[in-house]
Amino acid sequence: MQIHKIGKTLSGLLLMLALVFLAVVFLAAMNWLPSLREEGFARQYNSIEDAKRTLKLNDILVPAYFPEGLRWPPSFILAQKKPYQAVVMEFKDAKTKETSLIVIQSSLSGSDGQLQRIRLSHDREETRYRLKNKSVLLQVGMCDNGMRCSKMTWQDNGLFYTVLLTSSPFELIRIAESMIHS
Amino acid sequence: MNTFISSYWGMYAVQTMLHSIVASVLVDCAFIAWNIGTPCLKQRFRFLVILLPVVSFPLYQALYPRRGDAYFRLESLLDSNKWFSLELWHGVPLFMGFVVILALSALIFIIQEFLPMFLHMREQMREASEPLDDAVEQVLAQKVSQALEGLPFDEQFVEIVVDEDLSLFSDTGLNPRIYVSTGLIKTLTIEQLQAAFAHEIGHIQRTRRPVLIFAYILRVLMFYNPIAMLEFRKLAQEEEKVCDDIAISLTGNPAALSSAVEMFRPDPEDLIQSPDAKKTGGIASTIEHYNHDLLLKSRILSIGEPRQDDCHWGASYFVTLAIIVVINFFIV
Repeated sequence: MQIHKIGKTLSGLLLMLALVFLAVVFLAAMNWLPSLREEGFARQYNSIEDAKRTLKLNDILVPAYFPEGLRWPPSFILAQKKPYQAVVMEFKDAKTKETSLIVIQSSLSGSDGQLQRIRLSHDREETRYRLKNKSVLLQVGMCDNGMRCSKMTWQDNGLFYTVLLTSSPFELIRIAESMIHS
Repeated sequence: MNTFISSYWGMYAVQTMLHSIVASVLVDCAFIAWNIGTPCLKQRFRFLVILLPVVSFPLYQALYPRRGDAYFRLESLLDSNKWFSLELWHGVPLFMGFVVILALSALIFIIQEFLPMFLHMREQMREASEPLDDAVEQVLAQKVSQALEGLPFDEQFVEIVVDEDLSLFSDTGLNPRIYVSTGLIKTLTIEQLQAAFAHEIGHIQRTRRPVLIFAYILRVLMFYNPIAMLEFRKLAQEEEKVCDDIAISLTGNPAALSSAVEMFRPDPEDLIQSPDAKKTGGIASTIEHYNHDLLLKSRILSIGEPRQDDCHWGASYFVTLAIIVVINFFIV
């Protein structure tokens, strides 16, 4: 009787796993279907040019100043036009090979939190001032990876920009300065 | 739209609905896989569909706060943002369809559940102030007394209501009572009446473990979720079958219960839509009668069925729970 019960449970388990497999395949297909109909959903791109061309984006701000020790080109590029426009570029430190600089431009205010792989978790200092006639917010503190980091945010032409550097704010200010056109 | 679906509560609303759908499908898969037919076991599984979506999103977020991030969405099994930003026509996103579904579900909840409950409570309060008609024939009281013989319920807690319609319900509060109409006492035989009382005793006994009340509270919290509404209805239907099982165990007479339930089926005339039904709002009434009849038919079929499983917490339950929790984690 007990053996019969165990056998029933195991055969049920096999059937259940088969049904779950079908359900997962169905969900994966449902996740892929929208991309067939429309373009512009979030995905990784090989180059900035590729993202610009595919998503027909005119302006992707790239820092003109690039601190020593950071690797070019970006190690990771994420871009989307839907549900809102956003481009994320990550740059790695040549020595540590860790992500050191993140540049985000987004059309949705407050979305940078969802687009940053590294976040400023302990905000020690915060100051708002004008940089090349733009109001910028500079935050300095610790990142959630335990490193010291600084972040600058500003708005320009309906887009929200965030630059995060796992270093002191001095280099960050120079990076941001090279991105803002007066 | 973007601000809403990126917000905590926006993600909560979207994910409770998606998680409900997935949980509902997986629970039905479990019924097929393990051939689950026992009402009280089915009820436990269905309860998962109502409970898990309410708590899953905050739990997932607490365990992995970066679940809403773009990077997590890239690797997810299903990203709802993709579907919601699809343009249907003239640039209107599919998200608007989702909003309409939520609004309709909330409206159905208010019209079909909240208002009738409120009106019923008001009616009960009004009735309580009216003097009760105690002109009950001695014959009917004696029939009730005979029907209650052998059942674990005191005769003094049975109230006879002067009403020629077939009506039987119980007050499952602190002082439980069974209300039976004179029409029902006259129509049913003593065996049928005993089976019907035993069914109500089942309801009273089960309020000691108020799963249905808890499920209803969760369902009210998800007033906007159509899946929660459907699952709660299925849960309530299973409750009737559980009480049927209790009635059979108390009376040992499934045939009497089956024939008593048969008496409650609506007249065939009520199931046919009259030509002027549209004018009188009869479509809704016909659908309601049809649904009620379906439930009663399903109960009658279930009464005769032998139960294959015991009502226990088996491996199948925990496997299904784990599968739902894992899959829903990757649905954002």
